[in-house]
Amino acid sequence: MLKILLTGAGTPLGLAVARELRSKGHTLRLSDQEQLRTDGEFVKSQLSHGKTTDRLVKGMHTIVHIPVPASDEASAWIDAGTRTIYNLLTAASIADIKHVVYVSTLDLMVAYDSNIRVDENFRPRPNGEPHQLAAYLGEFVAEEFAQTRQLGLTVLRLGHLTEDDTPGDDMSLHLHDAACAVARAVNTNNNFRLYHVQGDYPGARFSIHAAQHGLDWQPKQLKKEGA
Amino acid sequence: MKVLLLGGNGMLGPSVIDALEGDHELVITDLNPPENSPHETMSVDIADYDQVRRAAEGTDAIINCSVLRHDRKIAFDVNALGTYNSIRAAVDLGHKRFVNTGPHFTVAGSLYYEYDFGLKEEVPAHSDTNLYALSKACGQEICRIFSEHYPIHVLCALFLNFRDPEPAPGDEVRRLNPFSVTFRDAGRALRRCLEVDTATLPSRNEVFFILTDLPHGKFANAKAKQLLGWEPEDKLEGYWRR
Repeated sequence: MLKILLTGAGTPLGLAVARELRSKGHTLRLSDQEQLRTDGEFVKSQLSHGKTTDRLVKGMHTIVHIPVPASDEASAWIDAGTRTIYNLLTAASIADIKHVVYVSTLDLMVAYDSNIRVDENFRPRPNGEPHQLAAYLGEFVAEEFAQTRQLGLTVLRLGHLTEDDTPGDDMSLHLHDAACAVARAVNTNNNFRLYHVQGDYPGARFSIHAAQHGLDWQPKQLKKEGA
Repeated sequence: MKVLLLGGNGMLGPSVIDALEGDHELVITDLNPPENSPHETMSVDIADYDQVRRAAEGTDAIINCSVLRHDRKIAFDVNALGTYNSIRAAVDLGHKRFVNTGPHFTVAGSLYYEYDFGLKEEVPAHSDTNLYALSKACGQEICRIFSEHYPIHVLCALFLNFRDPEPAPGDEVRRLNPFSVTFRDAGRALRRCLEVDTATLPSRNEVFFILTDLPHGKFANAKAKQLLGWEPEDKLEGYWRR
């Protein structure tokens, strides 16, 4: 079992991931920018430059990073996609942490024509909107750490999260399925892997073949018709 | 052309001013702008969009020479967020051209330059995790993405080592960095970035290695010569010829 730092723990995805990881027997250190009620270990953190972030990652085997901007301002999004992940991964590198799971978004791939079968081999095409820029820049920064500091990195590009039983659009992903994918990703042990993660239903836009095989993961909530 | 020069009081700013004044109207900004300048000056924190936008109003183009290297908070505020603010202001104001600057490892970081020769601007961008390099690389990625989604040309001039045209008398001639240029040739290159007909460029995002003609063969400056029509005048031979 692993000791895992989970950032963005107060988000709906963070809460679902925490439940899933605990159910698998992992020991968690939760973190977010605001205080979170939890029976487990929690560290309030802005992922700033300094010893607080060094202490945050100390003793962990793995980090699951769900980036959260400090506000909805464009500057906060850019900060979340650049400086804060740089601080986190620098601390992780110093602490000799072997593996980081970075949670990104499939929105980076929607610029492609919907008739194209887009998979992980396609170049991300973010637009100039802050949330897409932040997600892309986060991947960009993380990949440099994977390449030059031999940090194991798994990037999960998630579809649009929902807790409904039916998909809201062509790239929906049930929250529980997303949490299961993250839980599978923490057990991978590769230098760099990238997976597209969304529900499997008629009209679903992106192939999840790589995630199904690489993570041994199957979405269960938004199932194929008749399945 | 009326040009906003961001970071105009930094290392490169005065050379850019020398290269442009007389033919272009300049608005020179920095956190601490130059004193006693004959040009319009103002204090601008590039991390503040409203300040950048205000300074850019009424201008035709922006040259971004702002840079911060050491402090993590300020480095990202200037090199990444500041670049975002600058090109966003340019797009919002309908500018057609944005000139960005940075170190060569914005594109070609240590993965390349420790091992490879004949490096060109078109290598996949890998800056390394060095703070200065990676924060500037984030800024340039932001520029590239804007150029793909908005009708604006981004011309990014990359530099590294600046030298006087000749070694000073009595100075020990040190090993010359293979990515070297003089300040005045650097200023001339940025002038070409400002003046080149963008219709002649292959794409809306073009990166240029700005170094003089050197015998090392490690980095190529052919693209800047061909597309910008720039020719380095100072060959720095005093530093490398016996």
